[in-house]
Amino acid sequence: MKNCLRDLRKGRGLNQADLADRLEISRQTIIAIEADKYDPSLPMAYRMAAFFDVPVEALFFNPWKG
Amino acid sequence: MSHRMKYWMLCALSFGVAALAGVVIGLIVPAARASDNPVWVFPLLVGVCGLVMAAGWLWWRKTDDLQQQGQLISWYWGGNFGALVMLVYLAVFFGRHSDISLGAIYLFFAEFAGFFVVWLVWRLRGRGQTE
Repeated sequence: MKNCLRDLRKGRGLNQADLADRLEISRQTIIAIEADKYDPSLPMAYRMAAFFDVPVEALFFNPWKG
Repeated sequence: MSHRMKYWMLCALSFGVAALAGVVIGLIVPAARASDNPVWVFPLLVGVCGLVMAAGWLWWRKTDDLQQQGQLISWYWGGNFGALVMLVYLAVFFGRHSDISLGAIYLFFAEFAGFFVVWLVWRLRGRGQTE
């Protein structure tokens, strides 16, 4: 799923390892999501959105919505 | 302590407990014959296996979606295919009814039984209101 995780992360001045640690997930997961290789579960997507203080759809773009 | 550090510490603990369990089993169970008191040795060692699983659970709780998916897919497809290949190998090279082949078949049955129990619990816990 297309997303802007990399942009939001860089906007906060965090590297992938820092963000992973803040969210208590693996760096591999951050890398996979940023590369659009893995779609996170809904709880994880909400946790990420809450961390950046944005709605989930501002972080993960809904491909079924025009 | 960082999440990454906790993760690796629990991973090490999990492997450590498994290795320790192997030593305990090796010390208690004779190498080439049945245990003298299997009625208490078996439940005792099942308890030891429970400790191994408990240590693994502590690590599992620190894994995220992607890591869990990696473990589940690898164990299901890789683990099952590896076990099947070994089963065929033992049957071909040692005979279908050899002790080693039968042991492997028992292990396979136990794996299936464990799978079925966990799958059933998972299925029942995932139930919702039918409308």
